[in-house]
Amino acid sequence: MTQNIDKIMRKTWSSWYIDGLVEIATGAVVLIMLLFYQVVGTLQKGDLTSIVMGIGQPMILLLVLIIAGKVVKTLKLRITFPRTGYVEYSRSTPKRNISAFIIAAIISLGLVIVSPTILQVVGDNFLPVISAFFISLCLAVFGWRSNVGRFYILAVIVLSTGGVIAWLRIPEYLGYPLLLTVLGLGLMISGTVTLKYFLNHTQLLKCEE
Amino acid sequence: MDSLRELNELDRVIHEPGRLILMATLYAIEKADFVFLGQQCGLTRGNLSSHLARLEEAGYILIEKTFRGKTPQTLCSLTAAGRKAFEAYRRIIARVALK
Repeated sequence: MTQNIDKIMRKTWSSWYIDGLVEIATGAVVLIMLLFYQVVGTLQKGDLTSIVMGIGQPMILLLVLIIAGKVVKTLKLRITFPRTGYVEYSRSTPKRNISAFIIAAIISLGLVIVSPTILQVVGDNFLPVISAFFISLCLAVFGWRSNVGRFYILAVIVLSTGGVIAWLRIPEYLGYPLLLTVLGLGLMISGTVTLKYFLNHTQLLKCEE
Repeated sequence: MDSLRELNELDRVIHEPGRLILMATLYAIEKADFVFLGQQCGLTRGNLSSHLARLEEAGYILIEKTFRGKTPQTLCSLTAAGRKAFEAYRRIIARVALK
């Protein structure tokens, strides 16, 4: 019985991802930040512009996230809610918050503890692989919590990319951008396919009264 | 025998399939309109209205009748009492299931 109740709640959470808009936005954020970091990386170290842009990175990320959030909200009002009905998802349960915090803490701790040890054995080339492992772990956990199967597929793709980077011994300065490009594009393609499917298989609903 | 006695403590307002699905759905979100709840819970308009009225009478949900532009919209959300009642219900069910 409790499992059925959990199932109902997960099904409700999964409806946030029914249209693929959140994935498209997340993929776009990943690619925009990757582009930003690449641009900053090309600037002369010590140059005033590079210092300012370096300090501004967290602010740029925050701004991009805020804009992405507003765009997703607007698109949901115009595209999704006329087909599914209106819903606000801002409420999260204490249990959910605690488990999300624990998962994030475990992953961060894992990165801090495991990375130096593994890198001593296998070399710095494996740093993107370790990152790929933790990103794919996050995607898999996210897929389980939100009951959305395609996140598992993305997790496998990201993990495979990490494996290919290590196998081909791609240097770190190329490996990370490649990994993030695959993640960003993967999210955007997954989101676009989902959106297309959603639009083709749903109709505008009649008003309630 | 203990588990049978615990079943007596179950909230009868929540312990009805349609209302249980509604409570579980509303617990997972902030608020939703009539249309979303009907789709998500698989209830007909009549059933949904009836269950929502019962839950509102028990003080477990808040129903706001508003407008989105010129379109009428009925928004439902759990009250604090509703959340507590649902959590208590889940605890009893979990205890009974373990025995």
